[in-house]
Amino acid sequence: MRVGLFVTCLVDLLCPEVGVATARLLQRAGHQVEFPEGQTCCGQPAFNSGYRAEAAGVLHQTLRALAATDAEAYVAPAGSCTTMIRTFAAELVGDDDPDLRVVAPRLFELSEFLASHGSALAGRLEPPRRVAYHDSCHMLRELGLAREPREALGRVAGVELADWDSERCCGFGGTFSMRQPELSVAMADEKLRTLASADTLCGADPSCLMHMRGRLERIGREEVAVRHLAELLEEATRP
Amino acid sequence: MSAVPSLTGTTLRERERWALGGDGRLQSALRRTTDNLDGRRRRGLDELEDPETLRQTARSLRTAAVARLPELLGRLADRVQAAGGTVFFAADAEEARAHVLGICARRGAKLAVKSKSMVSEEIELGARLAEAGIEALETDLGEWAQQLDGEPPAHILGPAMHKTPADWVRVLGTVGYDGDESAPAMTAFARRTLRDKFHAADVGITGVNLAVAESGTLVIVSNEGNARMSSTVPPVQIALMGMERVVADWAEADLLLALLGRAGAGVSFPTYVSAITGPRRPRERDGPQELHLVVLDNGRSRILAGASREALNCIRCGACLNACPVYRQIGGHAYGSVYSGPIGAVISPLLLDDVPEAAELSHASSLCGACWAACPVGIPLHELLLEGRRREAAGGGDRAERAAWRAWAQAWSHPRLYGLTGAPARARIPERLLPPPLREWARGRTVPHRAGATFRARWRRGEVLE
Amino acid sequence: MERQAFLAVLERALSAAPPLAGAHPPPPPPDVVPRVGWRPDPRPLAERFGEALRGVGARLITVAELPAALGELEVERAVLTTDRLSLPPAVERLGLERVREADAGVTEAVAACAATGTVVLAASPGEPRAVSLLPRVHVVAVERDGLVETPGDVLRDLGGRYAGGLPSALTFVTGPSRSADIGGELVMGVHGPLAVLVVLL
Repeated sequence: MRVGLFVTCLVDLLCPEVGVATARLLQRAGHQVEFPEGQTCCGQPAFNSGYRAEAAGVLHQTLRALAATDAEAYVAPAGSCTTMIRTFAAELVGDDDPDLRVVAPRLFELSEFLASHGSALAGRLEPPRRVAYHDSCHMLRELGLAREPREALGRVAGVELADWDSERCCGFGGTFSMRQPELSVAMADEKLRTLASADTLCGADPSCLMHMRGRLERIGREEVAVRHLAELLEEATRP
Repeated sequence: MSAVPSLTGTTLRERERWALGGDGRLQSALRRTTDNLDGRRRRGLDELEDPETLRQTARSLRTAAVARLPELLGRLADRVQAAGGTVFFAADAEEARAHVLGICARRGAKLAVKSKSMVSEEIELGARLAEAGIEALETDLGEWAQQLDGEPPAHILGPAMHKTPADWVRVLGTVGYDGDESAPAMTAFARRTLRDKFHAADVGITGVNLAVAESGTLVIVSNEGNARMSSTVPPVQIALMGMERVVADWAEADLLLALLGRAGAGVSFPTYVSAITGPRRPRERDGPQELHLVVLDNGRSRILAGASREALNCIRCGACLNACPVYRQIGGHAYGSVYSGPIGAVISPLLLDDVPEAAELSHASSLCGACWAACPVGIPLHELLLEGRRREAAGGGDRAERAAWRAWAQAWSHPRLYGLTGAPARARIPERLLPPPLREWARGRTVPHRAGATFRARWRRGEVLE
Repeated sequence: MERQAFLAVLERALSAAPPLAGAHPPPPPPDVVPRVGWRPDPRPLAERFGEALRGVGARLITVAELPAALGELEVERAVLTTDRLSLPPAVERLGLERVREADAGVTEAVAACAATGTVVLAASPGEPRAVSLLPRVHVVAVERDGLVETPGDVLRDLGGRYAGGLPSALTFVTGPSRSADIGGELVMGVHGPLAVLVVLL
């Protein structure tokens, strides 16, 4: 399948390795991967702050760039940005926006896409890991994706899923994390205190991971590896 | 902890710091209480065949009822009057207070017993009655402790949830308790003390959980029994209700009661559900001789006129508080308003439109949606918080913030400018030189930086695919 | 404020209201409000009623067990509004006007709900509200054919049951009065009874 990659601004600018892992993973699943270069951001930071016109401008740019590729499917390594386009974008650009009508029905979060178009991918992680999977909020409650990422991890030998407070918000919340840093950090600590038994923290939203990694590093818990789902799967399926 | 901060003159962040800056007892009490209630909510819903469908149905029904409020309130008033009660429509807090005060004055009242009513907190009725020389005594155990301690309630269902048994001993000590930290002993003391007050009271003041238009019935829920006492013993009952609490008929009331008990306290059915239709009838030995219903607007019509009117569907169960990761850290007082938690963050800015500090309450959320998932009537609270932020920004917002978003939007609508603004993310900048938003991030977290080139640069160079 | 003016404000608000915020608009309401469906339970009503009562801290007893139960609870004086139960000789019967002095109040329910352990009390000249409320023990008689599945069976039928208008007070009682306000510890008997004994006739 011809797949257009929506890497998201955060991955592009801050953690490109997640984008590389996503692209390679899709390639290994047998897809033809393209990168629509005009994409920037889904507009969510401004949307969540109440600045809708500003969000719409940026969203338009990304939708136009994605739609121009006319891929059979679009895949994003970020549940939150996927939700922005699938669920909330219509409030900004109208549900009759031609670019939105091309992109939204074909846009999938990575684990969601792999569940139907990549389930043959299996692999092994050496040494084995005890993985705490983080349910990011939009992905869990708006997209209803909790089983898919766990099943993707379940297909990897050497992964044991750890029990922890997986569904509680990590406290990132976009600009919330900078507007109210004390609260944001307290929320991260609340969640991370249940992490004891895992050596790897894994999620499918780079923003949450960046926040929790930043907190773990600051409190001297660098021994916990923080990995995007794409990175773990990519590592496990290396030829 | 120092005194509860007020909304006026403080920022949300300052109040959050106040709540987070204690010794951690607040957070452990919040953890214990909210985990308990949220767990009970889930188990309570498990008894039902298809709770999700009921939740969606309740949402539609509440939305439809709110859309026909004038008709339903008119019918309710007719039926309450037909049953012998009076109905007063209060446009604002002052009208409501003046009406209550008028009834008390006519009866020469000296003592009013109150069972839990958020509306009475909202209109600051207690303070007003006290000014008029009328003792207004809270009779819900937690509310009573808060009243004795000079603090507002901290949670819809557990007003004193943050108090330890030692705190209770101290507070009850001010009215003569000299026992130990045993909850049964303190409860027995409260029963004796408050029982005398009930018998001496001239007026009973209650809230209203639901009002059934079909029969003119006020439905009042309690677990302790103080609402029953307030509507049984004193010669006058004054019931205060937010205008949105009306439902069309008993089938709707049935559905909402099934959800209310489960969502709030995690019980299949509340301990006491009182359905009151008018004052006592001829030859009845007890119940109030007079029943007065006060229907309050006080800003609700503003909510009704706007895109957030689904907030009026709320049945005040407290489930969103218990599910909220923000409430879990900061508790009710940091919101600075009578209604706390996600629902408070939605309605307080609308109810308190003359208090500028209230507008930013819509930021007391990470928008995680746990409130929406827990709400028994399916209010999309996270989206109403977004709507609140939209309204705040549209109303002018912060000038510098608006300018920053404009500049951002200009740049990120063009891939090349986007690329330029994103390039520095590779640099490791000393924290003291970071621009303001990142400096805030760096409080408590390391600042992320990119290793190597951006994704798009790698793509162009052909380094991405195998 | 005048009623008409108050309601006119709401009419105006509604007529100018924009669409609801958010990406998840509510579905239209159903024509008929669905019943609150419980998970099916094939056991007899009385058995489930007893279990639900235990679950909320109340007890289901027989007429024969009443004297012993009252003895255990140290009931010496009681008021009684029903002729379906009688007091054992050891218990002094007080007149209704002395309800404040009574250890127990004995009343009759108009219905009861098996799933929740709820008894439904209707106020009337013969059934004052205080009898089931002020004494520390509440004994309530329930006719076997007054036992239904859920509170909904009673609530949804109130119009039919009371075609001439509802009683001044209908009280749905599910177990003893309770609070967990002090340190999260559940304590019975705050303002209402601390013990509820249900006698199924």
